[in-house]
Order: sequence, then C-alpha cells, then structure tokens
Amino acid sequence: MNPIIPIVFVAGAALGALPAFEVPFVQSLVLTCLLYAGLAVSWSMFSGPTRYLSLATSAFFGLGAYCTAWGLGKLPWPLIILLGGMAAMVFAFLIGLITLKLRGAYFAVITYGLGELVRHTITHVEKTYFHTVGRVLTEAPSAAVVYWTVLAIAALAAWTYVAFGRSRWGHALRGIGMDEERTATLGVNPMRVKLVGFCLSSWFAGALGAAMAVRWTYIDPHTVFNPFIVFQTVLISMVGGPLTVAGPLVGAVGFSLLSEYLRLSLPYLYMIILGVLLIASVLYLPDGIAGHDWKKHFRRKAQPEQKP
Amino acid sequence: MSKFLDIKGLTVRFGGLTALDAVDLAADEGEFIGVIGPNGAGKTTFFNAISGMVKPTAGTLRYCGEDLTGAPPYVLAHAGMARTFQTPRVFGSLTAAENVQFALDFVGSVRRRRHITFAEAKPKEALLERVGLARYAGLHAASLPPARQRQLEIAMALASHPRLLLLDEVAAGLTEAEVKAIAALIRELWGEHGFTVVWIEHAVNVLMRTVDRVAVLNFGAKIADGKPADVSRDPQVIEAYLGDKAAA
Ligand SMILES: Nc1ncnc2c1ncn2[C@@H]1O[C@H](COP(=O)(O)OP(=O)(O)OP(=O)(O)O)[C@@H](O)[C@H]1O
Ligand SMILES: [Mg+2]
Repeated sequence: MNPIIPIVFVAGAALGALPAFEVPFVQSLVLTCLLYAGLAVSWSMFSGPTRYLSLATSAFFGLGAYCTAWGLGKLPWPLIILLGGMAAMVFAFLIGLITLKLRGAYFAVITYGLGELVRHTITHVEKTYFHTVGRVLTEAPSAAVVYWTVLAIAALAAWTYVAFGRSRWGHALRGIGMDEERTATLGVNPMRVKLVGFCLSSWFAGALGAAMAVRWTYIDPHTVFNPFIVFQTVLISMVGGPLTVAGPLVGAVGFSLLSEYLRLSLPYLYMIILGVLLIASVLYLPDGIAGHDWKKHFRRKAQPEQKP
Repeated sequence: MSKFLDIKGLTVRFGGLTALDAVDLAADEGEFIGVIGPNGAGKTTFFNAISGMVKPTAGTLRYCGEDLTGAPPYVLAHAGMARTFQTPRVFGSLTAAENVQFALDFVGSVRRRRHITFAEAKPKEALLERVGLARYAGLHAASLPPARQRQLEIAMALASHPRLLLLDEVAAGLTEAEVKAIAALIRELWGEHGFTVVWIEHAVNVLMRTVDRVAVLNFGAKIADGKPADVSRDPQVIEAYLGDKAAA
C-alpha cells in the first residue's frame, strides 16, 4: 500500500479532531493554514501545469463571500458553500472566454483587472439597490463548523488536484503549458481544456470565500476582494512549487506560520521579508521548494551522462 | 467524386511579404508527393497553412470532401492530418515514450477516433521501434539531437493513424546513409498504411528517387508539378535552383 494513505488519514483525523480540544489560538492558526492551503492548491491546479498566471483568486473568493452574505439565514450552510463555488465558476467561465486566449503578462493583468471590476460592481450594486456599504453576518455557524468546512474544502481541493492531474485533462493542461500549439496539433482543443481547468480551480476559491466570510462578522467588498488574497496565494504556490500537490501545502503551512511570527515580532519588516522571499524563490528555486531537486546538492558530482 | 486533398489558390501574407502565392495542389488518397524549393520558398508556410497553424490570407483547403479552410489544428488532427516540424516540437521534458503516449492519448485515442480499431492500435514501444528509436524510449526528448527528435515526431504522427502525413525535412542533419534509410522507411510506412504523404526535403536527389510526384515552390509560388523525371528537366526549376546556387 502507498505509505501516503495512512499518513493522510492520521493527519485528517488529527485536524478534524482539533476543535474538540478547545485551543482557539491553535485552531485559528490552523484555519489560516488550511485556507491558504486550499487557495494555493486550487490556484496551482490550473496555473501550475499551464503556466498561466491567474490573478483572479481574490475575485473568486469575494464572490463566494458575497454568496454567504446574501444567503445566510435563508439557505442551508452546505448549499451556500456550493453556490459560493458556483458563483466563482460562472465568473471564471465568463472571464475565461475572454482572457484564456491571451498569454503571459496580458493574462495576469486582465484577470486582475476584471476582478477589480467585479469588486466595484458589487460595491455599486450594494449602494444603489441595498443602500449599504457592508453587511453584518448574523446567524453564522459556530467556529468549529467553519473550521470543518474549510478543512473539507481544502481536502477536496487536494484530492481533485491529484485526480485531475492524472486524468486526460491534466495531461492536456501540461501539454498546453509546454507547447500549446503543438498540443493542438495532437488533437487537443486548448480553449476547452483551459476553460474546464480554470473553472474547476475557481470553485474551491469561491467555496473558501463563502466559508470564511462568516469569520469577519462584518464584510464589505474591500475586505473580501482584497488583492492580498491573490498575492499571498501566488506567493505560496510559487515558493512551494505549483507542480506537485505537496508544493502549495508545504508553502501554505510555512507561509502561515512565518507570517504569524513576523506579524507579531517584526510588524514593519513583514511585507518586505515576504517580498524578498518571493524574489529569492523565483531566482533560486524556479520549481518551488517541493519541485526542487534537493538531493542534487548532496550527491557527489556525478559522472557526465553518457550521450546516446 | 471530389479529390482527397484539394488546395486552391492558397495564399499567406506576412505584412508586405507574400510567403505563399496562390498555390494549387490536388491529390488522390494514397499519393506520395514531394515538395522542393530553395530556402525561404514558402514550403514550411505551405504546411502551416494546411495544418491550421497559420490562417491563409486567401484560397481554400478541401480535405476528404469538406471545406476545412482556416480550421483549427485540433480539428484537422482529428480529421487524420498529421505533421512533423522542421524545427522539432517535441515535449522536451517528457521522455520519448511519453511523447508518443501523449499522441496516443489524444489524437490517437481509439475511443475518440472511431475509425481506429483496437486491432490497428499499436503501443508506444512498437511505434518507437518502427522509427528506430526503441533504445531512446526512456530518455528525455530534449536530450535527443534534432534529427532524432524529428524521427520521434514521425512516431507521434503514426500514433494518430494519419490519412495525410506532412513531413517537413525529416532527413535534415542526417548522414547520407541515414537519409537513404529514412527515405526507405517512409516509403515502407506508406506501403503499409496507405496514407497520403507530402514530404518537404532539401536533399533533392534522394527525394526525387523516392516520390512518385514532386511539386516545386519558388518565391511562394508553385512553378512545377509532375513526375520527378519531367520536373528535373523543367527549365524554370533548373533556373530556380541555379539562381539559388549563384546567390549562395
Ligand atoms: N511567422 C512568420 N512571420 C513572418 N514571416 C514569415 C513567417 N514564417 C515565415 N516567414 C517568411 O516567409 C518566407 C517563407 O518561409 P518558409 O519558412 O515557409 O520557407 P521554407 O521554404 O520552409 O524555407 P526553408 O527551406 O529554409 O525551410 C520566408 O521569407 C520567411 O522569412
Ligand atoms: Mg522550411
């Protein structure tokens, strides 16, 4: 049997049992880890294999959060989460139709811009039709329910990452990342594959937004469409390495603990240190911590490989 | 009955440059055609326009009785059109075997392309063996020299069970003996599978001896088309090649 399976079960059980121990500080720290793990895994699911740098995560997250704001008290909690993910998916589909034809910096900039557009649209809708700038979320489920929900979404994201990556779709996405035109000459419709991958990955960000919205009790577009959400997600994924599921997971845990520590001890240097980390990882670990061949540094200089 | 392949007035312009100038080419299923022409004559552009990688500025492409002018590459691939690239485009970070498997998984998928039967479907090992790359199966494609990468592209094309095989200078960078071997191999594959071959090559002598018919491009236009023996006597063709030599 794969030794990973028992480890996953034990870790899952331990994480799931955490609320029973009533250690709010630890639980909230773990919740942050899980949130960023989920966001980074979902981002890496699409952007890892395709190398399309998506900056739409904040928009997915915010749309999910607003589903909660509108649905709380009217709909059952699981349905709210599902709809939050679906709202992100619909948005991903619409912007995907426009942006997935673009490459490189254009894609990044336009996904970011369209995300900002959604934020302003929601601000406008709230002001004009509901005469409000933000919303107080009453009837929120308990902290334990929120924790379990985020845990479940993050776990589902990780499972999907692996299953999707192994499927034909995953292979096609990697082909697109390597050489899109060549992949098309081998019978793949790149637009269709990219749309499916982009929409699938967006669901998790939307669902996480829906689950996390209640943590704030008061939300406004500024909080839930915060650009920091996507910057941190990209940072975690790049530093951890988006090409394996371990990458974003390792990155999320490391980042959450590090930023918690830095925020408390070096509040002024916090962002600078994170920025330096990103630059260093892009320069020295282009495939991230998990994707890097660490053994290389410990091996003795190998014989030059025999060329055929 | 309409022709298997019927290209009319195919034109490609890049800004002010007419890379392909109203080229006609009609072929029956199972023909073995060579395309020659001096450097920059528009041969690769011709393939790019046929395989959907460059949108033609004008002209039509009919294939198997359907108008597929400007159709995207994946549609043409599923219609049985396969090609190789002069500058090889294999997935460098995958092994040779994985490259062939990629083609088998998509355009070569027995489930998706109904005309492929299980009996015909060959595993990747057999395809690599067929093009003489069996011993490189586990090597990363990027580590193979370009000439071997082009052979790998032939294996990938075979994986798709092509009806039309477009070969762009698969003999480039090979020794004289290897050029002869690959010409023999392509002729053999053609005999086995019955697909139509259109083969661009700079090694004019070998090509002329291998193909049944040859088309000549010069400055984007087709200047000759016919039996190799007749074409090699064509004054316009001689002029084009002598002019090329004089310029070189
Ligand atoms: N994408 C492109 N953009 C602009 N010009 C191009 C492009 N592709 C080809 N050309 C030009 O079109 C002309 C024909 O090029 P093409 O590659 O088709 O020639 P070729 O016959 O294949 O030459 P060779 O024998 O060197 O392979 C050349 O002048 C080339 O510079
Ligand atoms: Mg060429």
